[in-house]
Amino acid sequence: MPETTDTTRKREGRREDTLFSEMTKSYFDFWQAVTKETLRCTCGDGGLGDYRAGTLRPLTARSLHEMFSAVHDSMTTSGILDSLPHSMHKSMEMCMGLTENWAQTLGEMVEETLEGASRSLADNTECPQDGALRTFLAAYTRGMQKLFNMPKLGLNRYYQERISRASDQFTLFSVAAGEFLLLMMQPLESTLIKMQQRIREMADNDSHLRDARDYYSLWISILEGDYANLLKSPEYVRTFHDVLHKYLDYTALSEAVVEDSLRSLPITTKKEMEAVYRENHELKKQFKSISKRLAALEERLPPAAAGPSAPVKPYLVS
Amino acid sequence: MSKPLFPVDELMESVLQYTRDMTARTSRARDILGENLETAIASTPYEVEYTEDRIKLKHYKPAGKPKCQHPLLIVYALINRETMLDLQPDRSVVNNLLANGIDLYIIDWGYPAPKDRFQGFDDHINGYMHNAVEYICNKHGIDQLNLMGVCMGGTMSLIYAALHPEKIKNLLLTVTPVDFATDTGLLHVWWGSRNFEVDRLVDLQGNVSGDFLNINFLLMNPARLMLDKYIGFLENVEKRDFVENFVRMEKWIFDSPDVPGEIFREFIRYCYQENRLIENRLEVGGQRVDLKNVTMPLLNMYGLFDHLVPPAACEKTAAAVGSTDTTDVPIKTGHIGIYVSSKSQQVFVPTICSWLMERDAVAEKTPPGTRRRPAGTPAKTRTRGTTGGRTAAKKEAPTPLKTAAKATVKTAAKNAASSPAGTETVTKTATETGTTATTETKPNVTSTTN
Repeated sequence: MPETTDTTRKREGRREDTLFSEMTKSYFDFWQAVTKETLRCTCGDGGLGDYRAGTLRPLTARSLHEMFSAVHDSMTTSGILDSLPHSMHKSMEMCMGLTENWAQTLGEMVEETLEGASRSLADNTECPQDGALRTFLAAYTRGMQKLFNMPKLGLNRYYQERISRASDQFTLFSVAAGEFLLLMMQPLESTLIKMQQRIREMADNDSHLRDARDYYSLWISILEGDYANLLKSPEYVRTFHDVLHKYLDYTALSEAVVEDSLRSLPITTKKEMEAVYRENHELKKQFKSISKRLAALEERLPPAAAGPSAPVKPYLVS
Repeated sequence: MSKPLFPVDELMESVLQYTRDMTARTSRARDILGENLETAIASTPYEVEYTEDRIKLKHYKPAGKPKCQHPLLIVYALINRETMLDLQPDRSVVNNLLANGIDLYIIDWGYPAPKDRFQGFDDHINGYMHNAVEYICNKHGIDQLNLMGVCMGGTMSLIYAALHPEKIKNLLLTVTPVDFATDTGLLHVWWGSRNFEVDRLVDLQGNVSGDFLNINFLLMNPARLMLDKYIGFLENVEKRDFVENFVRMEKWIFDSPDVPGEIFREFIRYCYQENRLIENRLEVGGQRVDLKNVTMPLLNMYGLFDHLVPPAACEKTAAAVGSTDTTDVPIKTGHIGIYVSSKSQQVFVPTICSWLMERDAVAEKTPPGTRRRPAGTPAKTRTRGTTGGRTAAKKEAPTPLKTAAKATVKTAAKNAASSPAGTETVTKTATETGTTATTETKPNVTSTTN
């Protein structure tokens, strides 16, 4: 009867376990031999009992050897080595399980966001273009944003939090930029409608334009007028300021992340450089002011007091 | 039967013809575009006579003897570059000024680096500008010079004139915003709002990038500046002169240095958002900028179709300053057109030169009151807020300008000696014909200092 796949897998697993134990045992044996040999070289042929008391190197070598032997014995005799592969498997399984759970949760959130967005889009039949981004934003706020806002734990929580906030802000900026672009497209649409009206009027009056260039000129002048109206409208100003604010928010957060990552490298950060610039600016200003005052004072001095070798204007920046 | 909306056949034929023309043009354009086009800008020779940090002081010498007693210093804006004044040889403000015998200096603000981000009004006005003025005065052995500002450079020049009136003989402002409380310009609407977070922008960006500013300028008229302009280029691509001029203009427009963060913050916050300058509430270097200290003659030129600095931002300047000799010259052109358009070339520089000549022409003998020091000797410090070095009030209104083509000149001579007590005479002169059109008398609400 042929062996089942599970049995084969178990047997291969056992074989792998044994192989791992054997490798670890040889590794420990090798290093035990090395430490013993080191001890012999350090303390002479007398070996363990022959070292000269009070000298550091033999003492250190001996304690190292003894420590390693103890570890070696406990590892090889207690069965730890045999159970180690199994424990590692278990740990890996746990990690994989956790990752899987996180990925699943993330997937569900993305799914929810997209579903919410498409549901809202389907409901919003009146002005689908205009509402698309706002709908996405609402769905994003209900779904994905929560993930970014979840409390971060552990050693790297500070950095995780910064990265999450930057990612969140990038999405908000993208939405605002999208809204801005959509608004900028509006005159293109309204111009077409106005063009149709004008063409109809011309047709009614039998005053057709006969040259394609004339149609272009008409279109561009209407477009210019529509843009002029849009660009001074409160809606445009609000959207323009909004996209700028979101961009600044995102820039601030992303720069913080970059600065965090630069901390481990021997590179000066922007903030540090700015402190240097400020200091340099203040010092330069003070220097120039003092130089001018000094030059003015020197001018007041009688020639004898200034001395024959005194330069006329030594401090003016050239 | 309803009428057809289009003459379809004719229109289709027109489209086909347009396409055929365009194809032929572009194929001929390959030869032109592939050649060595003459697109250099700022080709008038100059000498750099003074440098400080990134700043250069360029000196353009007239061919003959200068016709004005005092040299003219031009202060350009910190946005874009001063090369616009010398864009092409036949439309060069610099060349025209030199041809009219003006000894000319221009401040080149250079390209601000990140280290310059903390430089504000004080550094530029009391620092760089003042040092340049001192240098020129010392070199020529004079106490004063003529100062001309362009756009934001005009605002800075006005501030300088208010803080150091003793240094300025005549002040010329061109397309200079002074009254920011207007919503006729898009920049005033976008940047003048408190919602425009200039503090955060500067804190985060440091220097404000030229690209950011360019995007703002392009958005002011996207249909023309992003689309129609390039359609026009394609339609004229086979004309060598057109292509060269177009490329020169493109070179200038997109040669946009970053603006030092601090001065941008101050300009937006204090001027656009709080309108402190015209209300005499602005402080620079710990000193209040009082426009009543601007007592020297003032020429104020601006474009009636300027969408960046609308006329409303320029019109109140003459009334705000303390000068008794102010001339407003609105020209039917736009913000850049005033310097580069062929029509404006016939008005702009001739008006400046004739106005300057009236006030500063080289006399056979040095007139009393004009003090000259030996060249190279430093000027003595004067107390600020005096009469600005003018020794006598101008007794008569300036003669009408005859050189300008389509400008309307409003000259206000606020002077108790020449007008009835407590009145202000406003002379409107149609310069196309060179004849005085109207003369009005209105109550003088400003105090006369001379």
